[in-house]
Amino acid sequence: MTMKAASQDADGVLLTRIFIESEDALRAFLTRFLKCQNDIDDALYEAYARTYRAMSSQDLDSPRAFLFRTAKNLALNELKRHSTQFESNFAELNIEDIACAEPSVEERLMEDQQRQLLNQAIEQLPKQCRKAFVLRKQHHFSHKSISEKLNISVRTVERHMANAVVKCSEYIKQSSQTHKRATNKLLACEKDQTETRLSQSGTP
Amino acid sequence: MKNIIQFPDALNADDDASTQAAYWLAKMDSGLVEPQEFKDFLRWKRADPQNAVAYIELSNIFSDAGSNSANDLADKANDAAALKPALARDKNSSTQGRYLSFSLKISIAASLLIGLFVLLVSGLPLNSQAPQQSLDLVTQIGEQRSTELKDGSQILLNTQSQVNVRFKDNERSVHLVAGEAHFDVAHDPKRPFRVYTPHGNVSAVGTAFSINLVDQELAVTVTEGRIAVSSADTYGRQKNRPLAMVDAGHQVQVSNDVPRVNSIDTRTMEKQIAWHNGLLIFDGDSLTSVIAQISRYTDKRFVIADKDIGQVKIGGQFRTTEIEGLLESLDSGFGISAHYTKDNSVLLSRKKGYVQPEPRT
Repeated sequence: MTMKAASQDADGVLLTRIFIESEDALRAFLTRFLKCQNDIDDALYEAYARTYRAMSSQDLDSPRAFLFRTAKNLALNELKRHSTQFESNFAELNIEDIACAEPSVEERLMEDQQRQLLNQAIEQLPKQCRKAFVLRKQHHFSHKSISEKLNISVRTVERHMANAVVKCSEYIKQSSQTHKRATNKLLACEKDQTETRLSQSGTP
Repeated sequence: MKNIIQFPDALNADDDASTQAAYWLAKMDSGLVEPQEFKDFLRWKRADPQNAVAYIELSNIFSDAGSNSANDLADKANDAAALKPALARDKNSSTQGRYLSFSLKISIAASLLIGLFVLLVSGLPLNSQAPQQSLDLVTQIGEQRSTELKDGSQILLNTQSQVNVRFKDNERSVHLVAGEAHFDVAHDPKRPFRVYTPHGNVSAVGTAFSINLVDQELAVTVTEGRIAVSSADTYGRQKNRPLAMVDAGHQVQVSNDVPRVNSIDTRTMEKQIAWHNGLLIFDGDSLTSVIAQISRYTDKRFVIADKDIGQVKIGGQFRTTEIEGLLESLDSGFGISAHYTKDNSVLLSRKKGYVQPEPRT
């Protein structure tokens, strides 16, 4: 009897979200080594796919760091084919020493409120949609397993996922209206912090 | 000038940014996408700055939906004094929470800071003390596998089963998706070991127990220590309600949130956990019941051809990997012959000329 290799399901949403946040930086970086837009797009996909596979086969402490390292290596390979002069360019792409901020008391409070809201939002989802969403998010079922369990197509599972996040987002937005003042205050705080961090981490 | 973008399938360019973002999120959640799809995704993102904002906003909700149940569960369970020792947790050391709060902040500030995201790390918690682990284990028909987790706990997975391990800072979560598993839990009062199933949840600190989901209900056999069972996490109104405390030497069956606790004698216990050693023990079980049990270990389909043999009582000890041996014993000891058919079925019928012994009294 054969053993199936242990696998885990990679968080494709987290990865693509990191990708969206970092695309400009990745693209700007790759542009130095790859001239053609098409090659850059290919390299971006390759970086995504390699990071995704790495996430499915091992624990990555930081998918973001892995993504950047992969892009770096892809560019390096490209460079090796053409020239050897640009080693110094790599030093600039250093993302591993940026730290996470500790949450404040207010943030924790917000967090609890947000979590409660999210729970309420999930509770009001249509039954089948909620079932699919809970199986995915709470029990880590794959889309395929959900489709088998609920006897629906994989495409319908996807639709349930899309529907669930939109509905939850709308619900949270509506309920948050009353807390807007508090949010604005937090926003101002956030902006200050970010500016401080930016000025501290400015490139030499 | 109009931006013309061809959206595949159900994505409608007239939809708002949020609906389009949700379409892409579901796609990206479904697995590794094809190059063309990925490029379409990036093109969509570039088409309008609002698209990236919407995507990040929804991905925060999506991630948070995965992390909130565990915390919520522990909060609820802490209310029940009886469960307190087993469910203690260290709230302040929750890195999961830190990540949550960070993603929340980003969601609020997204529209302002979109240009600055390169410097704002959304990374996962780093340098946590407790080992985190994320692992999906699957067994196929007839397969059993034993796995040691990072905290030293052992999982023994029976045939056709799946567990998804998600160790966090404040909790060792395991999701039993299907089948049967035995857990030998390493002691760690700060990080409860919790098994989630669609029919109810099981919490333990340091103990050993087996869970079986085969009969569309939750059956837990406790071999060591003590466990707490709570109702399933379905976002229903009465989720995670404490249901029962169960000690070693007992079994609890939970269906529709109603627990039935039974004490079981050594012999029954031996029988129930025989699969840990790859064995099946029968002790006067009916042929129908024997067939149901061995069917889990083979892809062969058994058909009882003679109605009256279903109630024949079977005894003996068999290896789960040697179904043929069992069929031979049925033939020689119980007068039941097996015929293999082309479509992978086994027909069981009364052996010709076999005289059934008088039932023992």
